[in-house]
Amino acid sequence: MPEVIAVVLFIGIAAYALFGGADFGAGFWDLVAGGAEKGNRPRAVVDHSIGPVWEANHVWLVFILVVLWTAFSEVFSSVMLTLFVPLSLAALGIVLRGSSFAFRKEVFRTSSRRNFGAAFAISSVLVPFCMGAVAGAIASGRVPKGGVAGDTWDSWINPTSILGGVLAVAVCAYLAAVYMVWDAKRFGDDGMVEYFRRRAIGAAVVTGAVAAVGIWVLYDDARYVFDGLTSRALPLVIISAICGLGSIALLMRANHRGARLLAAGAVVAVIGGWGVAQWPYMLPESLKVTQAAAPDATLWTVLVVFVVAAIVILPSLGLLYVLDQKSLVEIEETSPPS
Amino acid sequence: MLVGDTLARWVYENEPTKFAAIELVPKTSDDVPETLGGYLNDDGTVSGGIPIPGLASILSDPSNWTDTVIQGLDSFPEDERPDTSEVNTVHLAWDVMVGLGTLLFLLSAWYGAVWLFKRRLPASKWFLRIAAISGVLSVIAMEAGWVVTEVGRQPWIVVGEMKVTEAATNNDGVWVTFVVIAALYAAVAVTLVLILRAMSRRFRERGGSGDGDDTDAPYGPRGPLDTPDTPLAEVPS
Repeated sequence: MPEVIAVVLFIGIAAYALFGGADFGAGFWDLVAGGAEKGNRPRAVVDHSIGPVWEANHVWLVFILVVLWTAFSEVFSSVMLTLFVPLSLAALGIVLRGSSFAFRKEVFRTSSRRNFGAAFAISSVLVPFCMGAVAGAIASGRVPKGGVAGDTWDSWINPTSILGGVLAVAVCAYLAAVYMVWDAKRFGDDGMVEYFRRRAIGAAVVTGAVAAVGIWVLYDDARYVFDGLTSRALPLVIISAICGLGSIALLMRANHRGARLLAAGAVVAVIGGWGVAQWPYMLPESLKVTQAAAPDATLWTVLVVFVVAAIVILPSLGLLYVLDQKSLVEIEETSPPS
Repeated sequence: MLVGDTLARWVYENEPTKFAAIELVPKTSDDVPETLGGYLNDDGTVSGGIPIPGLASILSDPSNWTDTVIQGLDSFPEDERPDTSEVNTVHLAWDVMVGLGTLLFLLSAWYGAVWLFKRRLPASKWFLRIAAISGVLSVIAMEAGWVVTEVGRQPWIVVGEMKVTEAATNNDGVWVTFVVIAALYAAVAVTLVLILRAMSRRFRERGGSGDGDDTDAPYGPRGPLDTPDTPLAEVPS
């Protein structure tokens, strides 16, 4: 039973990476879009792309937290106590990001737009970095078991955490660029299709490079996870690499829909790989999944709630994504960028 | 009102400590008055307020009328019940919640009565004034309800199982985190008000013209506002 709930937890993490990650990545491209004049068109695509699903994707984060504290409360308290600095930064970033994105639409002066835009874009990079750092802290065994605090700073300022943070930002940017190629197409802006296509390829290459360098970082700093990735999780690593390379190839041939699927596959495989690599540990080499799990009655309740929530929420989220993809949820008629 | 009554009875049966704080009952007894306002002193006496004889007992269990016994704060160990200032907070919040709830109920009753007999909105300016702030009042009532349930639980976080002090983090930096979060939310709140005011100004200045020169701003004026020709207060009966 604990294994089933651990898988449920990872489904939540993968969904947050795929959907929330793309939102954060859109903020990254907003950040690097250049000055007000030059960045107008890409920013219009960003607005257009994430406006309708604005903040909806944080349901996955809430889901992850609830499952973690209900089913693995010892891990939850250890993680929260040890990593409250990056987690607080992430929470602040999420608040700042959501509100700035909404505020930017309501102001006219370029200077105010720039300020809100900067707050939105910088926090969009800060949040995934912090999340990745948290993952790195857990993977490298820096979170102690027993619901006690580890080191406030070293726990998340270390090679694996920095790798996790940079990789998370790169993955978000990659996913967002791949998604936005299609969004620009729906938006009817061929120039932007090309703009994001080139960036998607660039981001894919950078993400791959970070991941490759990451292997050596893990070898030095998170040996258990490295061993896992090169043994039982190796198939997932290979799938991820194939999907990543495949998405680059499809992007080059302008097969945007296929590139999207493969990009998503690559990310899911990496996250699954992380889980399998640190198996059977929840906190590597100190706390096993089975030791960390709540009593069976609690786990069954979590599972039932998960199934009910899936039945109730997934269709509506699915409808939101589908309508969004078909451009049927228009918040406002925005004039096409000229 | 029905829901509130039912929930209060649930608290009476399951969380007697919280109930004693809500009803300001220092000593266990029957024939307990419902005290409106008033406060608890450190020596366990109640000062001020308007007591309605027997009403708290009657409401707690109507079948026993004023014979219903309500457990007082003195029947719980001192370290397992809210202290004097917490009790006063709970009681005040309770009065605010019930008072506002009753006011809002009367407001609906007012509307209902006028509609029933005259088939129109109440024309009184006071109705419109109260209706205009009723949204804020309902939020205040809701927050007061949260204060009742959370402060009334003290010193427990999980009643009978775990105290707040056992659950709270022992990390450094709680104050820093708290101040930063409070500051961020304050900044966001101020910005929100400023932006709402700017939007309202745009509507006032250009609302009627519909010149469409700010299509770039969502929620900006799009065209003439759809206003009724006759102000509501002058709608003929």
